[in-house]
Amino acid sequence: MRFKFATGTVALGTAAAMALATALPAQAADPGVTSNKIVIGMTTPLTGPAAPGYKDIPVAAAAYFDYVNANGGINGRKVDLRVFDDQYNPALAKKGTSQLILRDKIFAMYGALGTPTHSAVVQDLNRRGIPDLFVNTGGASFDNPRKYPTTFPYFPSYVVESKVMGYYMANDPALKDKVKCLFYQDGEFGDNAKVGFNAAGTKFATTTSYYSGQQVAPFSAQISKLKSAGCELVVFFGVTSATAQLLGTAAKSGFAPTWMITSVGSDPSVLKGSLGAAAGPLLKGVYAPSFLVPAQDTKNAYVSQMKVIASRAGLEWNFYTYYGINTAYVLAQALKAAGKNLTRKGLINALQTKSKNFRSAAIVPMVINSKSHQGLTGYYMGQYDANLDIQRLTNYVMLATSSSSGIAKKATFRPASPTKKLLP
Amino acid sequence: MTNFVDYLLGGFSNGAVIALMALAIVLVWRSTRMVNFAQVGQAMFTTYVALTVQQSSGSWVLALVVAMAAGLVLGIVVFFLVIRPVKNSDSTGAIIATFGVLIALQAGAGMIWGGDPQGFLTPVDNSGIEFAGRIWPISLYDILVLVVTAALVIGLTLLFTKTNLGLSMRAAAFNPEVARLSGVRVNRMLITGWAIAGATGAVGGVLIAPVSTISPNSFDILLVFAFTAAVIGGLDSLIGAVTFGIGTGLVISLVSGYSDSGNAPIVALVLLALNLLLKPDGVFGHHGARSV
Repeated sequence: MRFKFATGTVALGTAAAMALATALPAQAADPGVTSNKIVIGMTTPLTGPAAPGYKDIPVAAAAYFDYVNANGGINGRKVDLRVFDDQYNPALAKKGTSQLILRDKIFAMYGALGTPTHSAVVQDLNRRGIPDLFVNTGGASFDNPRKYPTTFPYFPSYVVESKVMGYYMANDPALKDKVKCLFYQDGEFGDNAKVGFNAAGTKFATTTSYYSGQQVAPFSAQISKLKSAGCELVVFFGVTSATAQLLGTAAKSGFAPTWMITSVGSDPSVLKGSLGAAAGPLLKGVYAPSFLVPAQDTKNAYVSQMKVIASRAGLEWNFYTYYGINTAYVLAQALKAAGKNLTRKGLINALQTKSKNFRSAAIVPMVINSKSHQGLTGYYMGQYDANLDIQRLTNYVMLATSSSSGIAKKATFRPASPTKKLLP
Repeated sequence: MTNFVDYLLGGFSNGAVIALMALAIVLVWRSTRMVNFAQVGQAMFTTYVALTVQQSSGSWVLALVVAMAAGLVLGIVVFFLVIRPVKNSDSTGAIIATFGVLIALQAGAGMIWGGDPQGFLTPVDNSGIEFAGRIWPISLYDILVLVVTAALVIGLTLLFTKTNLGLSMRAAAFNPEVARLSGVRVNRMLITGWAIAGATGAVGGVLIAPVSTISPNSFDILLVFAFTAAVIGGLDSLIGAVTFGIGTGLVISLVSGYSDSGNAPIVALVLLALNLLLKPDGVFGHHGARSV
């Protein structure tokens, strides 16, 4: 009897639910969205070995969202950014992502940082259909719409970067005849670089590597190897703390080739801290690709407005503050483009169909469609001056894809000017 | 051939610092029969203290002396606050507690000095020495590091073999009951051991700082290699720790030079595993000095 009664209740309940479902419009079905709020999650290192520099990104993004919220929010909703400190540890990234999904009930992930950390959670995010926007890594594996339909990288991958470096080294009159050598960090980071240089047809006289953590002591053996191979141009694919050790050890050995350093390995504020007064002379003349308007170019409308937002929030103006505000600005435009009736599907659809119109401080085109989630597609070549500011060397940009073949192509790109008051 | 010589020279100076950390681990083992995984954390913390002193006074020697004093005090504090309450009831618990100390020190240093890496000035020239028409990858500073390491080993060996204090410390660690019956003040000896280890680690930290950068986690990887060196050397042997500390530096340097550096940690761990299989007491260890 009791069993029958229970079934009856279930049947009644189901019928009622079905009736309700047909009566209500299909909105507010996704977690993390209410009529006045959107909850966004981020996993990123705030403490630990990877935190220097990167720890400024979430603070800058939050400052931008505060600014947007104070100006009425996005389609009437305020952005609520929840940040989890994963210390660049995949196990913690996993824990943090679960917490953001289950406890904070986020609508979307944004700016999750790191290849090993994000690899640990990307499948789960996609299985749950959670939009996973602007992953903060150049790991090429995340641009794969078939495997990861909800994941969208932002900055150009390391494969694109090495293709661009390869193109520039082969064509620049000052560099093309130099003896070239490669020094990379072991693991996916260095592997990505090798894929790109291979596709670009760059021939290196010798290659050498370091393991993550080895930069605690001088790179004596590696520098000896590069020196005895007669390297005149050394391409370095490593993190910033390793760049400091590289430049220090090379100076000690009297080895002074032309350096070309990856965009993620030459943060001037971190180099200044670790090299002190030597940073200026050591970094001057170092080549580094970049994709944003140089941060010191305050005449630029993006830079000047973002700098105002940063200074009003009391933040130091550096590359990571700039980068954080910039991606938050693109996210805000994507959320706005998804419309008043905000759903996860709608957001992904807006990214895939409307991203052409998104504005940002990037001076390379962004490609996001149903076939490719590449994000930014290239770089210009820059060079550090004695003030540790990056100067744009090429008025053109070099574009490439993350595939294991094909070389970079020269292109010109004129970005659209920012939206009014930098609001979405 | 010049490459080979370069790799050896680079390996020597890098190995000296691993040797100093290994020494500190051995000192703790000798005095309390346990491994202190917080050793690199203590060294990191005292190096920050030294950095603060150097920045305000400009003196490297003063920074070194203050770091050693801080290392001495920190060793005593850690022993009193964490190790002694746990050790008598549970020796495994005490070892795990050292991990807790490591995490607390890293978090504390981050709160006090921030997470951004900072540089440390060298007391003497750190550019490679020019000889026979080329620059060699060894500097005056590297030689200073090697000299300080050698002096410390000789001094500590003399302390343990030729003085009453050294003998009492060994007795207290080896058999506390019998030592107590013979009139050794066991507790005082244990504290002395932790204090000396803290000061030795502090020297290691100050010596590596100028050729590295200091951040709360920057010495983490040193722990792996220092521990490897100490174990292969026999955990009980000062000369073993130094020999294999420098040996580890040479292995890393040669592997980085001749193959992918990513193989260096693997080679080090394979050597450790072989050692534990073939000579479980360590190369310089006495039989029964270590039991698992």
